[in-house]
Amino acid sequence: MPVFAVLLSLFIGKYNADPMTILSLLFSKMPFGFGGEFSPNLETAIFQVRLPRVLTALLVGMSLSVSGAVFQGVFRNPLVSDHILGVSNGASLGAAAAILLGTSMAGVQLAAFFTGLLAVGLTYSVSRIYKTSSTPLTLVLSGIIVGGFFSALVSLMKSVADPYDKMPAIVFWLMGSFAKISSVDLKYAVPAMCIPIIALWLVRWRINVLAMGEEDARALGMNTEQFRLVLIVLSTIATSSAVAVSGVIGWVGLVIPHVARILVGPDHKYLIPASISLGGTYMVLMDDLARSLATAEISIGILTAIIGAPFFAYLLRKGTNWS
Amino acid sequence: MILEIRDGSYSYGKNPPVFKKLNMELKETQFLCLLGQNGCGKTTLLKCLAGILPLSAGEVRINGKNLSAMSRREIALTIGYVPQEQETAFPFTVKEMVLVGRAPSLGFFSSPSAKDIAIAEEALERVGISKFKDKRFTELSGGERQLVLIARVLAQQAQILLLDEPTSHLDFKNQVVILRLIKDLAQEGRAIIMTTHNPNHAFIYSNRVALMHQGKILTLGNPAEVLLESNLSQAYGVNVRLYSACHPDSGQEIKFCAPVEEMEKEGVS
Repeated sequence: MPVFAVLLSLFIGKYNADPMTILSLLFSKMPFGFGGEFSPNLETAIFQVRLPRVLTALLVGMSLSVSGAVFQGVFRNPLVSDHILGVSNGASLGAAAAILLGTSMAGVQLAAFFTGLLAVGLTYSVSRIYKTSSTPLTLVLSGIIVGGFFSALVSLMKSVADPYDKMPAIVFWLMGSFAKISSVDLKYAVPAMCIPIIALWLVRWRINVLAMGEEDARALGMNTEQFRLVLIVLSTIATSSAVAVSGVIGWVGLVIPHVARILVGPDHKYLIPASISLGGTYMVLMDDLARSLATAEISIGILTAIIGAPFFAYLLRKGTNWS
Repeated sequence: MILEIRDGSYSYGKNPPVFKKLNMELKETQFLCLLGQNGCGKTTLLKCLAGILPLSAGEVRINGKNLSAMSRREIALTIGYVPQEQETAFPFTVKEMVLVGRAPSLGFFSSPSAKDIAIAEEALERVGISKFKDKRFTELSGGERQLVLIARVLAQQAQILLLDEPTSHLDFKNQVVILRLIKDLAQEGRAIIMTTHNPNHAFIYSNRVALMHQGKILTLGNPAEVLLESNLSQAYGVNVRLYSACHPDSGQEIKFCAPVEEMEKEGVS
C-alpha cells in the first residue's frame, strides 16, 4: 500500500511528465535497469525534488503513527498521541529555538528531541501529582497543561524573532510542510526516524504485556520501568525528528492508530505494522493533496487537521471502545 | 519447590506496616487457603510473595534463593500471579490475553510462536473457555474474566501459583469448576496459595489453611486443625459456628461453617 502511494505521488507535480516516462526513468536507475534517454530537467524534478519529498512524507507519517500507537499502549490510553502528550509542542519549542539561533539541521533535531522528551516527562509527572485519580483523563489534562505552556513559549520565540527573516521561517515551519525538504536535510532525519520505527517494530508484541497494567506486567516478568522508558524514548525520537523536518502535523498520531485498531484489532503484533503502513500512506496522499489542490501549496498540517478532526469525531460516534 | 517468607514486613510508604515479621512456607502439592478479614493484608502478602511489591524487611525465598536476587523474568518463570480484577484499556481478545502469559518464556524481540499458541489453547481448553477464545475480554462478565486470567497463568507454566480471590465473581457452578481445577493443579505438583472469603472452600478443597488477622498469621496448618470455631471467630471478629452433615449417598462427614451472630439475635437458631 505505501509503495503504491509513493509511486502515485511521483506522478503528481508541477513538472508535467506522463507516468510511463517516470516509471521507465525509475527502472533505468536500478542495477538491472535498461537504458533510455531522459531530459535532465525530469531527472532533477524526480530525484532532487519529488522523491526526497515523498519519502520524507512517508517516513514522517510512519513515525507519527507508530509513536501514536506506542504512546497509547504505554499509557494504556487510547486518547493520547504525540500531540496530546505535549511532545509535538515540546519538540517545536526546541526546533524554533534552534532556528532562531541559526543552527544546522542536526542542531534543530537534537533540540527538538530534548524538548520533546522534556515535555512528555513533564506531562507524565504532572499526571502523577493526582495520584488518587490516575484515570485516562488526568493524563490528557496534564498533556493539555504542558502543551499549552510549551506553545506559549513557542509564541514567545515568534515574538522575539526577526520579523523579516526568522519569524516567517518559524511560522511556516510550525504549520507543517514538506515543501522545503532537500536531500541534505534528510541525512540525519532518515536514520533518526528509521531506527526507532524498526526498533519499535521489533519489540511490538511486548507492548501487549505492558498494556495489561503495571502490576500484571511485573508479575509476567517484565521490567516495566525500563521497557516503558525505552518505548517512550524511541517514540519521542521518532516524533521529534518528524517535527524537526516537517513542523507540527497534528491528528495523524491520534487518528491513524484508531483506524488501524478498527481494522486489525488491539494486538500490537498487528497494530504496529498496520499503523506504520497506514500512517505512511496517509501522509503521502495528504502531501499530494497539499501540493496539487491549489496553485499555491497548502500546509499539510492544515490539511491533516481539516480532515483528521471531523474523522475523529466520526470514529467517536461509532462508539470506539475505551473504558 | 519451597516458597517461604521469613520475617517479612511490608508498609505502603510511611504508613503503619500491613504485616510485620511474618513467617510462612509452602511446598509442592500444597494448596493453601489464606483467610482473613477485608484489609487484613492478604492481597499485599500475595503481591510481596509474587515479587510485585518489594518487602520492607525480611525476605522471600524460592528453594532457598532470595527473590530480590532474581530478575523479574526468572521470578515469573516460577511464580504466577492472578489479580483480583483486571481492567484493560484495549479490547483484547481472550486468546490474546492468554498468550500474554507466554511473555516470560519469550525473548525480548520475539512474538509468540505456533508452540506458544498451542500452549495458550491448551490452557483455554483446561479452564473450559475455548468456546469464547475470540470474544473480546472487555465484553465478558466478571466470572468469565476470572477464568481467562486463570488460563493466562496456566499458559505461564509456573510451578507456584498465587491467586487473589479467584472465586469472588463466580457462580456456584464456576466456583466448583475452578476450585476443582486448582486442587488438581496442586496434586500435579504445583504449590498454590489462594485467598478467599469463604472458609468452606478450605474445608472442601484445600489441604492447608492460614488465618490472617491484623497483619499476622494466627494459625497455619491442616484445615481440620486450623478451622476451629475459636480461631475463625477470632480471625473474623464475629461468632462463627461449625456444622457438620453427612453426605446422603457416601455417608462421608462434611463440615462447614457460618457466622451466627445475626441468627441468634433474631432467635432463629
